[in-house]
Amino acid sequence: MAENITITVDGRTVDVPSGTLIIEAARKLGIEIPTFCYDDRLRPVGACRMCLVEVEKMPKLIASCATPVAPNMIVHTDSEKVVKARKGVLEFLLINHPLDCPTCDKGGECPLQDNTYTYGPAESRYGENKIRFIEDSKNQKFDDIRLGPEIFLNRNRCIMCFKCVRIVRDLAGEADLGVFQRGSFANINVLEEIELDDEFSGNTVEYCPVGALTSKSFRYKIREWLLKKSPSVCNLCSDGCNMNIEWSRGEVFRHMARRNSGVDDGWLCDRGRYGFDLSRAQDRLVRPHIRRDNKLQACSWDEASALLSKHLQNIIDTNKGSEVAAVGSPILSNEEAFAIRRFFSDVVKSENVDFQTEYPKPIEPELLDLIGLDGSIKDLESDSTFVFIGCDPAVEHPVVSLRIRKAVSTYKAKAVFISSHDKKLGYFPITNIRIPFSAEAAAVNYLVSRISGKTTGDMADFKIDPDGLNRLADNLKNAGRIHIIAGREFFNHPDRAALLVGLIKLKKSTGAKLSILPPQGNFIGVSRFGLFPSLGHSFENMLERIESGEIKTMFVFGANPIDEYPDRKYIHDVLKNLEFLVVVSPFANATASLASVVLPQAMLPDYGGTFLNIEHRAQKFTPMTENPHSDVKPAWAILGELSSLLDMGNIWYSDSQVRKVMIDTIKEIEGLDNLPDNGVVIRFPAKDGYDPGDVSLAEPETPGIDYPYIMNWTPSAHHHGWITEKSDNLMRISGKQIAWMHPDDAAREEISDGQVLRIGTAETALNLPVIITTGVNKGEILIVNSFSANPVNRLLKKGRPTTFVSVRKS
Amino acid sequence: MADFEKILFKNIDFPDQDKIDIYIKNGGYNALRKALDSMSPESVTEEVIKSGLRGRGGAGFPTGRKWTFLPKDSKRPVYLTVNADESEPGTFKDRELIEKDPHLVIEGTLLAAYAIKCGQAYIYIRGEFAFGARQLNKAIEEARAKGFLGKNILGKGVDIEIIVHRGGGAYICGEETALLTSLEGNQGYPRVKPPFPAISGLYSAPTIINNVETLSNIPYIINKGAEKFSAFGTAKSPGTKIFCLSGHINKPGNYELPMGIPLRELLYEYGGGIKDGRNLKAVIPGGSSVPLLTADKVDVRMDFESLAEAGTMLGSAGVIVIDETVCMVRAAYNLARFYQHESCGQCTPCRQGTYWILAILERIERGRGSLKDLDKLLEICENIEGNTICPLGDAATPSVKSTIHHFRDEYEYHITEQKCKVSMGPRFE
Repeated sequence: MAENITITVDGRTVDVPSGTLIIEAARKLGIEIPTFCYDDRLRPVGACRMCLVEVEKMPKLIASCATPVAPNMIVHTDSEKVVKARKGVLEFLLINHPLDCPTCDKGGECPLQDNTYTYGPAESRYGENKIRFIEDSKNQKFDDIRLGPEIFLNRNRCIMCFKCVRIVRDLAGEADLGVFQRGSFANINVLEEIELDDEFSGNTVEYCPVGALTSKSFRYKIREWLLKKSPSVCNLCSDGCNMNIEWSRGEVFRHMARRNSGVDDGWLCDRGRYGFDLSRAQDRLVRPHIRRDNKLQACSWDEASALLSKHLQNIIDTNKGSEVAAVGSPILSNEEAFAIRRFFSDVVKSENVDFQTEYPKPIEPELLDLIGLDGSIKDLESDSTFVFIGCDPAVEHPVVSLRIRKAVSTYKAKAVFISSHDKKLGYFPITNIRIPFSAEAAAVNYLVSRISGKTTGDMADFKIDPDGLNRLADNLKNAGRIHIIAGREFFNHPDRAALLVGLIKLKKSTGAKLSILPPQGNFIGVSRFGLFPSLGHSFENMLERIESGEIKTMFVFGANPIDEYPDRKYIHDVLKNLEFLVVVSPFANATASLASVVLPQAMLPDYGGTFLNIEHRAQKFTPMTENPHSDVKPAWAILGELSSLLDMGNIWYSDSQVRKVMIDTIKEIEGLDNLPDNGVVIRFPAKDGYDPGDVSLAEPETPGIDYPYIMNWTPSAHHHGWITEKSDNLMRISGKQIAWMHPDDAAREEISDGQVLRIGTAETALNLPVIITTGVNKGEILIVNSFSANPVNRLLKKGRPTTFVSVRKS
Repeated sequence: MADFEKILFKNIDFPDQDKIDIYIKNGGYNALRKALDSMSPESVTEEVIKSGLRGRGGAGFPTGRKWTFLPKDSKRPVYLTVNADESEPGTFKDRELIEKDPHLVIEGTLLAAYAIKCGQAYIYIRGEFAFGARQLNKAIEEARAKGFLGKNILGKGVDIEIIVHRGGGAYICGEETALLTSLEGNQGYPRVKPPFPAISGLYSAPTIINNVETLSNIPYIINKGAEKFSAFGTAKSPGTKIFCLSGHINKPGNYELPMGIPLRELLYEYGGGIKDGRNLKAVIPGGSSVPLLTADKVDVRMDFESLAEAGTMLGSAGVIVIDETVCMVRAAYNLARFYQHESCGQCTPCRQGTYWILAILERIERGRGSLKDLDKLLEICENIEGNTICPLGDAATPSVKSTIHHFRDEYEYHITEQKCKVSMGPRFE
């Protein structure tokens, strides 16, 4: 297949690999063939017939988007015949098109408009009635129908390019969208009671070649030509999808994909796409606040800085830096993380920095080298067996999961999930191996023993049915290109040390790639650029020091420990012990309400900087140039100002200046200086041959009689963490917080589907509607987390990521 | 006309011909036995190539040559799909074969499957043919009981299964790639070619699609030899053909006659002449998708070449007779309505073009046309033709074009006088 084929297009020859489509070969010569239904990432359908070209010796015009090149083909893209056919196709497309461009959101960026201008007939010869699809709803008539919480469809504008159908089917792996009726009455729709709400639904709107599909959050708001575009990078998960933030007069209107074929390939997930309203959220902090008369009151930056510098001056003067701690978060940019570390070690003389407010135990320093993707995102397409342990890629890494879906659907790779509840990748075939909650370490150890032919321990203790694992072990022995991927649940795992040992052994015994993927935004960036507690106390230790009075002052940057830390009552009590708590945050939150000083933090798209994604790719994001929030500042600007007030150097006034200092300090990141559009993958030297030794498995816990269920939690595809809850768009599409339980348990408790349950421990409880499903284990309750009305961490106890609960009808 | 032997309809009216015992008594399954006993699959193909048999579905592609397009060393299974989705207006030949002589269809299918080394054949039958589907299923079970079908056929170690699949009643599913898409369980959309079904067809495997009548010829060819078969008909269109006579004719029905029979003979000798002694106005010789012939062309011979020369096509040999009482505008409108309704809606020219044609014809029928409409209609036809994924677009235009070409005066009368030249006037008010 590797041999090249030479063809002639409009008199010029081009050499392309066999199998290349004519349209792509022409593109290589810079000859653009107009099309509506073609997208190089989707399977060609040849439906719109706009791309017809003339090929010598062929009796008919052929669709260049669906025909591969053949040796010595002579193609004409603008012969008389082609021009006439194109005109004809456009005329046909327009006869039933409403031509309502003045009120259509696509106006200005509409391929139908553009192609009609370039190739179409100037006048319409159509004098008949147009077909009109009208939706009758509650005695009112509508052109638009609602397909899902975010997406509307106007079938009159539709030109039947099938892009949306293909995106939903081939990317998301759902069957939600389909074609109803035939001929000119053919129309796209969803079946009754089906919602178009998969995690990639927004792409259908972006790639619709007409204004048929519109987003609730964008339609009728602004014309495309009034929008300015700031190239940016999404940080709502760690994939680092490139996007354009489109804004006007300081208001963000939408996020659009900015294609980076190494990362996102031009797709955005709905979380990244519709989270654009975060910067204008109601809870957004736009002014500094100081606690006066036990109330947080707005003040000027001068006042707040003066107060802070006085407090810090006192600490510096008395040499009490060790009484200060700083906590960052994965929403920070690399520059902010670096500046925080520099400020606290150079100015305050404290090494107490960390960002792991979500985990019961800090990750081990040795683990740092193992975190991130083994290989590139693109490489995922060529892996042949995926084993997911404690990772739900569709939720944690939506766009990267597209590569895995492609490997599974196109290249017949196998995907195996070892988990306590069922996971899926759309309707693509996968295998779920169910184990009890938190038995991952035991399961992985079992796999290792089985593969290396050693005697396997007794799985009965862990209540694991070994059949599935045996099959997997046998398959892994013969499989090529295995990729083991651990995710969010790995970090929260109660027996993380043993699980890590198991994963490393499994990697060694199968020759697999091992990736441990943190789900949160710039996790890898902030850990690499200063916020990993290498010299000082970890967050867990900080809390103990606060209790014992050794730490009295804490700075929190972008984090919200009260909502994040897995013991809400404990962290609340501890933080109250602080003498001085400074919260720098883009939003008002539960932690900020305890603070002495609250400072408004810049977030996308208020400032510029860089993030590192899961493949250690440094990518640059830029601010919008008009910003109504004049008082919000990135962490480096806040700390730079404080330094200047304290007269201590380290004065930062721009992200590029911080980056220069970073490059001077850290050798490996030279490329950071001049980042190309698609970013640079940074190679940090890994400490090879990390051998964590042997760790014995923790004994499985057995529930008591009063609290017979073990509680587990999971994020949702559209909403994870405390920040996304601030977005009205995301809350609209993410649905309600729910719990799942097994039918046997439901029967015993006499609970019916949809009933509101009181799920609680001795002290407190959550009230949630329940869905009864065999997708979870017997004896386990799974809860969707990150809803502040019912935070899961209210039930948790320090040091343990899980708890036993009872269930009652509420 | 020269003497000929009936190949397809020889036993069609024999009592209980649909029962396997009678079929065998009349010489049935001898061809299958002969092929399995003494012929390799390649020699069956060779015999069919030699016979010159051409596809009876409409395009007339040489059947044996089609079989040789299969890749030689495919790792995927080869499928045979029998196209029994007979939906072309004016065509009803396969239906009679299926209902009255189902074993002939099954034997032909088994022979073809043997020739192309296919273990699984499908008969995609039009949804409305409920009786036909029952007949086929019954025949399959009878053949299985006698060891003609299933595992180890006649003890020769050949396995062939046949599944009868009923369609949902869409004209488009008679188009071979749409048929495959429908058979796979999807909406019946034609596929872009290449790849051709012989390379990547059903379930992306090499697939041969043959018409019911085509396959029903094969037992005869194997039994009597290619030369006997090609003795009938013309040199380039050998064999006999079932002509479906309908319309204003005294004796409508299916007539098996040698290829190349003059149309006049077919109409006046076999068809008994035009109904009620009226004058012939036009004939659509090959199903509604081909251009019509005016009455003066009645001496044309009915074979692929002669009809092509006359500017039309043999198609499915659905001969629709139109007498002097028919309004050609109305006839064109009627057919346009059919194609508009049956267009699948996948590609633009056919989806929108058939709708537009219908809208204009309806307006002319209502007496609200303008003379400009006629050229507009012709241009719309031109913009559809050759620009679509499948031949349905090309099938929708001949009725419009040929009626305008031959009967422009009737259109103009409709437009200028707002009434019909032939009948009582515009049908719509």
